[in-house]
Amino acid sequence: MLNRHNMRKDDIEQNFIALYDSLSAALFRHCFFRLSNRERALELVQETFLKAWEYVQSGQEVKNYKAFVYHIANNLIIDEYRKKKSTSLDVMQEEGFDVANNDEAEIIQSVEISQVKQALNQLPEKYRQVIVMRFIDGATLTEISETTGQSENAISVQLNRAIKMLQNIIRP
Amino acid sequence: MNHITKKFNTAANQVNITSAEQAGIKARLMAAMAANPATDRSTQRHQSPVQNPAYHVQKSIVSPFLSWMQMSVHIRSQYVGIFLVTLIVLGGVSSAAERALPGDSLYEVKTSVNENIRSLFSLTPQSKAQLHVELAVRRLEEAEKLAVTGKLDTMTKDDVEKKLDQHLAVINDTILTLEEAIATDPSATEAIGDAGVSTANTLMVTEAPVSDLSDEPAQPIAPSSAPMAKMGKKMVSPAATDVNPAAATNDTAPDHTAATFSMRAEPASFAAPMALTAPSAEPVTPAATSATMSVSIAHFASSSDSSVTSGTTSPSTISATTTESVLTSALESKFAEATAVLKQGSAKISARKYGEAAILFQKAQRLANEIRVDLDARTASSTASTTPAASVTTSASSTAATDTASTTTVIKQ
Repeated sequence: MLNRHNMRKDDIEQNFIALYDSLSAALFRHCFFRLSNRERALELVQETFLKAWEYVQSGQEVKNYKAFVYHIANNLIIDEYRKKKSTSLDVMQEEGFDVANNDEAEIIQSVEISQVKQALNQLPEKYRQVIVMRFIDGATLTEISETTGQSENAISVQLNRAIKMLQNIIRP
Repeated sequence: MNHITKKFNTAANQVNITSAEQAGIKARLMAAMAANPATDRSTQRHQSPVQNPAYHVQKSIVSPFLSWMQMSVHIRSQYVGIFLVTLIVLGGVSSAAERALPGDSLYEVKTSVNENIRSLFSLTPQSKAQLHVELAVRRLEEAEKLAVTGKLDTMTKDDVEKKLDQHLAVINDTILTLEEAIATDPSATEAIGDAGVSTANTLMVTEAPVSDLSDEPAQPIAPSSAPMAKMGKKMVSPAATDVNPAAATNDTAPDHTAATFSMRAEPASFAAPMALTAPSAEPVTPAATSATMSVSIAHFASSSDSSVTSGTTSPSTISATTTESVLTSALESKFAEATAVLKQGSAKISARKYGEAAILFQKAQRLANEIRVDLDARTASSTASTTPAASVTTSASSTAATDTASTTTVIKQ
């Protein structure tokens, strides 16, 4: 998409804006289901693209922009989890259940969304990642593998286990 | 499985970023992009770093200490640590080497590292000569110590003699250089005279002890006294007409320990040479040490007399009086030192440490010799007879010598 060879400065910037337009909605959704927090997801989308721009602007070569952007987002999400872990149990409970009450958009959300969010909350982080990518983003195994850096085999095993766990959580 | 995908699809479709939110993020992103624009690679890529002026600017302002400053504190402290350890190890080796004697593994460090470093700091020919005189004395002291401990064998002796010869060669060269300097610039006379006098005095002094070191006094000293004698001859300038008859006597008796050499010892009047005779033709008796001492003191009287007569013919005597008081105080302090050393020697004898006592007596003898040479130098430059202070010193020296004689006899018995 962004072939940097013989690319002029203005082209680089225009292409980056185009990249944002095409990916921001999907990335927001991804972040939303990963973090269960709309505000935080919006912040993370912005943070991801700013970081991506820093990298692109310095003249570094990027082969797969989609995987690249999702990779940055993934790292930021993991950082987020680490920050959460370091906080107390009370704070975690607050963020897990009460945040939705504080947010108007969360209150009016559908039954499906809250069910999915609850189910995802019970999954370990690495299963949550592959499930969100597979069922929310609609990414293929190859795409997931490119983003996470793991082999397709490993991703497929993780997906299977995650689905089994989800089946136990979400009854039809 | 199907119900899961369905649920997820429905949920995903219901979660959307609003266009306002999307536009808000986009605006902030574009602001960030404007503040931090892309580097234009199409132009940059084809420019070699040398052609790019920014390259030169960056190169020229980089401080050579930057890499050091940029190192992490940990790595920097490692370098500092290595440096300090090296310094401590080298310092330890160097100071340990200071006490090394010929035959020790550190002796080479002492002579070729420590002393060479010292010679780096002697810049003028005078200080160079002074240093090498000091080092020559040091070589003799080493031989002395070796002889006392019974370690003076052919190898160590050769080593010391070789090094001594080197020092003497340097001293000789320096003196020749100074003489040349004098020839071109007579104003340099004073400084050179000072250097000359100390050189001569010290060398005179060093002559005797080595002869007393070994059981056969004649053999070990012969090689080292030879260069000295040679040197003495070299040092005689064409103006040196006063040749002591004792020199001839000594030549006929090559086995005798002390060499006779003429040298200029008068500080200011450089042109007035004088002959100094070391004690010669001494009987090699068990009490050789004490005998040498008393003979040298006795000899002092005659040699000073002859020097006085030669001194009277010397044309330049004016500056001698100005240095007289300085010389007198120097002599007195030297005499006090000699007496102190004699006392120490006696103490060692009563403590039955005969080896150490012998060294101390030899040192005392050396000091007495120094006093004698100084006095010779003074009387040679003075038209008057021996000053009262000098005569006091002389009689005192004689007393000291008698002391030594008696104590040494005690040891031998």
